[in-house]
Amino acid sequence: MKKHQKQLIADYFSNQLKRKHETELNQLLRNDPAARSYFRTYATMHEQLEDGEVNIGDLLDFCSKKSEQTEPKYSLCKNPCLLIGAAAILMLCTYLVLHIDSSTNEATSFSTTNNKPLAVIIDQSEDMIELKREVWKQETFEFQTGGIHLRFNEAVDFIFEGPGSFEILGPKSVKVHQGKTRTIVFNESGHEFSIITPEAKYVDLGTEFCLNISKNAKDKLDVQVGEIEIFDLKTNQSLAKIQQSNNLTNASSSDWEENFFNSDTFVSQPGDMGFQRWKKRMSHYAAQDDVLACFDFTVRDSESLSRATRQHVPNEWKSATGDMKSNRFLISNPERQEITHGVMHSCLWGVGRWPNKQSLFFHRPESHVSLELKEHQKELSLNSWIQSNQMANSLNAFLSTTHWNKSGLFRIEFERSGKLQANFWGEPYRSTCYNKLDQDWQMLSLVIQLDESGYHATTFLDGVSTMARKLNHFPLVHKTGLHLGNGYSQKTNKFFRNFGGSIDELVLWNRALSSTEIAQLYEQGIPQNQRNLFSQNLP
Amino acid sequence: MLTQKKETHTLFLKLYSKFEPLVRAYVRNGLQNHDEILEVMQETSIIAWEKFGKLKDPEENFGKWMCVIARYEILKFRRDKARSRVILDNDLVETILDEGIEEFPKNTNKLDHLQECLRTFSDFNRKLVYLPYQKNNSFVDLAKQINKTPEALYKRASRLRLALADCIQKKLLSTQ
Repeated sequence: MKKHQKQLIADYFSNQLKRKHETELNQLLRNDPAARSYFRTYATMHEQLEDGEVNIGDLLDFCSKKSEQTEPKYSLCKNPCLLIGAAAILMLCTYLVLHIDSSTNEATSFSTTNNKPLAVIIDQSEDMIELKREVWKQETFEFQTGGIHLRFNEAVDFIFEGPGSFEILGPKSVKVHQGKTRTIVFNESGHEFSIITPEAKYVDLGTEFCLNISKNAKDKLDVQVGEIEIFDLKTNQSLAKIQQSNNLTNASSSDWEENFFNSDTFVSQPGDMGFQRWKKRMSHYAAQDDVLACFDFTVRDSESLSRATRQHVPNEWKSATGDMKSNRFLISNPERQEITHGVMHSCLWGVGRWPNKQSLFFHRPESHVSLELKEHQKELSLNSWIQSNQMANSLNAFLSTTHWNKSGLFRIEFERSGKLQANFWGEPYRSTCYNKLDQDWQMLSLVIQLDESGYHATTFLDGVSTMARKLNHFPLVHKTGLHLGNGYSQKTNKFFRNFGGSIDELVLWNRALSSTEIAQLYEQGIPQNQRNLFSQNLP
Repeated sequence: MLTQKKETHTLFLKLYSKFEPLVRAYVRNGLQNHDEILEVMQETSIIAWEKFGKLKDPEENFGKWMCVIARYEILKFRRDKARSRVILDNDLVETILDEGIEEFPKNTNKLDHLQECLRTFSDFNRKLVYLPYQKNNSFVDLAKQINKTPEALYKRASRLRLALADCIQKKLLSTQ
């Protein structure tokens, strides 16, 4: 086994395994019996060590005993050679006992300051590079394209866009060589956060401000909220104070007027990087054979909807879509024969998981999107992001089949309490005990899997399995009409289970995703910018 | 009758004390959370006691037999009750557990190997290797007192644990 493979196993047992490595660990253990044997050995060792106890005093005693061994039995002052020798031994002993290679960049769960990291990576324009990595010591970041969103000291959000580079100097200090930045101080413990550029030092006095730092031009500045103070790098003299909307209050020179710029269109907002990552992932899905459909919940231009696209809808809507407005279509990319595009009824387009991202709000009793699964499927996985605004009915359908009369049909519904039900025709009703449906965007997944023992269904919320059940009378996923966001009663000819919330993204696969893949989808898709951004740690 | 029951109880306790650490280590293969392991161990021991009378040749088979019970309880627990997020797929865990039962008779000396390997470490390293498992803030305290960063200390302990696992594995393979 390779060293890094052993490290994966060690990280697993010490709860340090990063989510991006979970698939690799699963594959390693699945494919390599030697790795499984090592895994079991590590489990034994881990369990035994966890059971043992060590007293920190023992370790310190040990250190001091080592030192005592080097102490002189008679006065060294009288003998310089002995003094030098003893010093050398002492140094060597100290080195052996205490020397630790700290040349690592790996983040650990300990901090260099007050047991907290200097910063945490909130988002990044490249998919899943180092989200949530903690930065514990000075570190330089360089970007040719794209950028990064960091959170300092649980108080300051710092967004950087390349090309350029910056260096983290401390929990309240960043040195920017070149690039565009947005700084948002969202509680008082972040006050006096400083950005040092080749030209000046910008100190926060409670604010949101942007900088554009170029190599061959003056720094450009935009104070959007609050106030900042600018200091001369050499003399540390205050050069100016600038309030929101770039109101100069205390300047040594009026030249500053030339330094202001409009950052709105130039510097990323929180969430923009997540949105960029999401767009890349959607493009990736379009090229995958196992992706049946990927509804990105984005309104298309009328011009981009070809006649063929308008006709690739459920049969009953084909005659009506010729002149239909483009915002009535829920388009899947890829366009596959197995499933149609959607036609929307009485929904509202609203704000999605990121700024500029759209979602559909199913606000009326009849709100729904009509789809059609045109071919039977052996297995199926479904993943979507939802926001539950209200649960107005006793059952609120996220997705239901147009009919409920044969095996192979299914419904995904929420009880008013927030408990999730995944029901299958001919099987007993079952709900999860998990009801933490809240106002944040949450990820909902369903996996219908066929193995040697038959069909199984598993539901997930936020990447965590909430219910797993065996399906005893399920022959396959039956081709069927689908209603997204509502349930239809054949008896009363009415929609009666509107979802009452918003949906942003729906992806279907023709295979069963593993729990690891589901967990990764959550990590990739969660809007990092929204959660706990402005509500936490208020003084 | 009473005497026979007492003897059975004594034998059960004797075997349970002998094999409990190995069975607990076996349970660790399927669960990560310490409290969950304890919960499964409790269920396993209750079932083992209830069915102990039916076990043939207990002195020979007790450990492996308890692992079989534990295997069922682990899978049941993962399916129904696991509170911590599941990282390893269920079918993979099943494979790991099945192989663990197969190799159980060959591996009963794993704990001896662990002690032998620990003895090859220096005193300081031997104690340091236990430190990540302490629930208090030992790492931070120790790091402060010896003027090193906690993450550096942690990394050293991490390397020691890998070395220890390598040593045990080597001994196991050489004796099989």
